[in-house]
Amino acid sequence: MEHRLSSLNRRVDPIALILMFILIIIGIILIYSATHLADNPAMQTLYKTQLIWTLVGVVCIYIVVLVPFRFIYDFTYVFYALSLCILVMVLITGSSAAGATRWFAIGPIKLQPSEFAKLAVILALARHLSSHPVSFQNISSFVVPLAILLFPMALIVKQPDLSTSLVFCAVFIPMIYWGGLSVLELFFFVSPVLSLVFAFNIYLWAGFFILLFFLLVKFSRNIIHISSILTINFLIGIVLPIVWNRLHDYQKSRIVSFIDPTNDPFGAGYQVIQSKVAIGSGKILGKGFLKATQTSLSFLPEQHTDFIFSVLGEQFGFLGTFFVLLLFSVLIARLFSLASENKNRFSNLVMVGISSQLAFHVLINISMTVGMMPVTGLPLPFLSYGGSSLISSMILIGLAASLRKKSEDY
Amino acid sequence: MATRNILDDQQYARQFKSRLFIFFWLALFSLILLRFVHIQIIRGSYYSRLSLENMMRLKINKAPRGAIYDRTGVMLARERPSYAISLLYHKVDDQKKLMETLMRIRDSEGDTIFNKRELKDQFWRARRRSFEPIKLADDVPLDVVTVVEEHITDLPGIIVENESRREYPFGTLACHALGYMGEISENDFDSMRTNFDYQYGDQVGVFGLEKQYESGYLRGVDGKEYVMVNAFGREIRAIEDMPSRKVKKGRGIYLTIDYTLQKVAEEAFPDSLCGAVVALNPENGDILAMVSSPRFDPNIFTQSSKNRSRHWRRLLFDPKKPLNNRATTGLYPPGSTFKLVTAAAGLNENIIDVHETFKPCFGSFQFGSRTYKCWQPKGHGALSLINGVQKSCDVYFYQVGLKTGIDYIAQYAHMFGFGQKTGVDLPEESAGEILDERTYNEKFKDRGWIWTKGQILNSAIGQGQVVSPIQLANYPGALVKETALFKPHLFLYSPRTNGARETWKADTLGYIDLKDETRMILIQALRAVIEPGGTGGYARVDSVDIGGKTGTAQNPQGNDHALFFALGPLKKPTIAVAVVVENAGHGGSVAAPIAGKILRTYFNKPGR
Ligand SMILES: [Zn+2]
Repeated sequence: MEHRLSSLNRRVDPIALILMFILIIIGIILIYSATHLADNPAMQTLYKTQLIWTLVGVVCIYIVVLVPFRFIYDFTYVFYALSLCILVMVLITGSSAAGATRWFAIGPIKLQPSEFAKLAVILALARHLSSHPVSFQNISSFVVPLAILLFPMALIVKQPDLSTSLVFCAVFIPMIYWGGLSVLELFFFVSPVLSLVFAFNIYLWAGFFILLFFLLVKFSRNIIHISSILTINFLIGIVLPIVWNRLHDYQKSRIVSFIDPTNDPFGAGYQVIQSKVAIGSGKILGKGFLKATQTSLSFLPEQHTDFIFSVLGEQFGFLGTFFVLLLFSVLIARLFSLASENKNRFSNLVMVGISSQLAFHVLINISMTVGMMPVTGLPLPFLSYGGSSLISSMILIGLAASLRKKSEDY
Repeated sequence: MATRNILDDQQYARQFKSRLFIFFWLALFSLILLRFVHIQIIRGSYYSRLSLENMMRLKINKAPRGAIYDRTGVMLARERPSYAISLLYHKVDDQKKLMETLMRIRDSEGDTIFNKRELKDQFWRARRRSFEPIKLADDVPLDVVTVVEEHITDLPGIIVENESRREYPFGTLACHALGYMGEISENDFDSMRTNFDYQYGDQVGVFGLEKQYESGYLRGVDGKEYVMVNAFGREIRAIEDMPSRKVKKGRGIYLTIDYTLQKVAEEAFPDSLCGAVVALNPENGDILAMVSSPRFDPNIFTQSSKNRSRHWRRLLFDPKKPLNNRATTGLYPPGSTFKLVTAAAGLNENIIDVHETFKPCFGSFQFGSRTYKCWQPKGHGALSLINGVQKSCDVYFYQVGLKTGIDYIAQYAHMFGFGQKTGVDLPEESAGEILDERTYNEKFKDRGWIWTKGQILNSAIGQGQVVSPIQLANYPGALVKETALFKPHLFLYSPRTNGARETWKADTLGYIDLKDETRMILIQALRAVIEPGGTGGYARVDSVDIGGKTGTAQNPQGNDHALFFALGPLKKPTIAVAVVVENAGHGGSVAAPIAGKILRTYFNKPGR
């Protein structure tokens, strides 16, 4: 027994696992405090359900740890093709009512197919990039990685789920950086996105454009690269705002509400206001465990799922939020540093992808509860109630924490 | 050694990249942390004040609904102020005590306002939306509001809300066109709220124009702001740096209805009879008057829900179905009013000649083994087409129909707009039905009935088809004028915020393909009906060239329906009227006088 435990310890990174379990326990406590006063008796036992999901997750981690490295590497593309099939099936069979297409039932467990797709994209990108580095010198090297990214993304945007598609981008950019781009090249690569951000202020954009121009001229010798990057940025920075201003108000509001469905401060945006009030009223020390006034009065219909962080903020104050943010930071930093200690390109790329995905989820969800980001429906990994999110996050950690040892054995 | 160096380089590069990542994410986390410092430490006491005392409430300022005017500016529907008593559940400290206090409140007649069962329901609903005001009583009389306001400190959780309610100053006038308001059903509420920004308990147009032009024209945009309230729910002031939205009144619409003409039509049509009147302008489809009888008072639907349900039940179970708009959904056999279609088809296809007399009428017509009667048992003798229309001789038209054939009759009926919706801008409309051999066999396949040539005889005199009064008003214009058949409509224009007018975009149902000679004959025939010796003499107007046609529709369930249409001036008609009176016998004696009153009012107007 002791031998097996220590062998398991050798297989996985204990620090990452311990941090994960602390976060899960905090999550269960918060779910209990958010639902123990609920009218519906079924709601009151959600924390027990979450406990069961955790146990299922532990089993999943155990399985993931036992799967040999070779197997993961060999079946990467099969897994990718399979997840594409699932996405297509969901598109065909699922009804479009109220985002129901995002769910896919396997027996009693409902899973979001996009969770599979995220992992599949990470693995497929890692496998491809590990043997085919991307480079600006060879533009065609981008074709396959972009294709790997865009197929599932297009299928999910149709569903429609903008936030999940953004997760793909948040995973893609760090991975191609790791897969061969220099910082400067990455800057050129994401410059159209930055142009889009700056496009709302013409002076800001002009400054950015001039900087981009000099950097390009200084560091690139390929006239086609320079002109095409500048053209794309020019189109986005100048033409897009002109088109935008030409749009009718209702067209604008349609676009805005696609990007930010909670833009109306009186509809769904009300949640954000209430979430801010809940978090703010926690002040430094918080109101104390089970002493919440905002969250227990069911201000927030999704407080135990997407808005779990406001439950934390109200009861445990700034100290609580700081502590949990710190836990997440250490966990993510640990995962990134694991990637640097390893020689196997494939497993490093997988770790970079997984860490970026988790970090992005955490960033978006927490920013949402304080009104820095639109309410997107991305749950907070490990803390939010929900089997799909919890189990898939646990599998990601299990994979990331065991890959190094796996590839060393291999 | 060289390989060793490369490995070191790679390790170095990996470390650099992973540190860059960590640095990048830590920078973003610090940004979030700064936000938490701001919210929880710097602004902490502000939010804690809002939260601890539950002082914040979203206040909705209801936008007044746009008014409805007739074409001359007479206001047909407007807003009146009203009060509602609502409940904010999260402010309630003792639910039982509050309910008891509420049940003691009485109005000036000594009746209680609340009953226990309803209150229980409403409290249960309020519990689920504890931060939204839930309406307990609407359209509360002023004296009750005064009592509640005086005792508001004993009623924690209770608030009085100002509202505005729909009011129809002329009561039943044009009620079926105007429509009425109703509460959003519980089922529709969630989608209505997210898509169209409705609040719980909002009234919404559910019938007629109120429904048709609900969004964009009648419904305004509710104002919203977050307000501080005291412990009794009374509003103190708006909260700074919270979003707010201004009230925008509904734009309102001007109708094609002419109040004077509508009033005359309403008065001419006795309330004891069922039926409909439609008057419209064939030159553009403007509906000048629309009556459906029996009528209802749309004001009852905006009264307090207590009164409302009582009236609602009475209207709903009335066997005469006063809530149906007979002008657009009532379907009747057109009877002899259809004979002009038969005539137009035969003439225009050169199948019959205007002077063709056929076999003379001796009161009946033998076809196959059956005898088909004329309405005049004495018979009409030999007739030309003009006299055939004037006397409305059935035997004459049996023969026209037989010679013309059902395909042409059905084709021309469709051309004149029968058998399809006119597309009038009302949510309720029936298409009616024109049968030919194919559609008849299809329709009665289950019963095993098969089209026989004898059916043509019935079709030729307007038995077997069903049409709506609005179709019957729209079609006469097409018999005499060259322009298209227009889509009838009630919308004239709506003022835009910048003062300009959004006018109706004229829309056609189709073009009328009639030869000039055909049209000249039809005009003569229509005129002859009104002239001495014709069946529609009651619709005569001095010094105006009027034409028309009477009809009597056989009704298997009871007495025959009386139908009549008229239009004028025949050279260039600006008004066409259709009248249908259920179970009233002959069109000429009952329906024609109603049309006559409307026409005389219309033409005696100076300046027209
Ligand atoms: Zn006769």
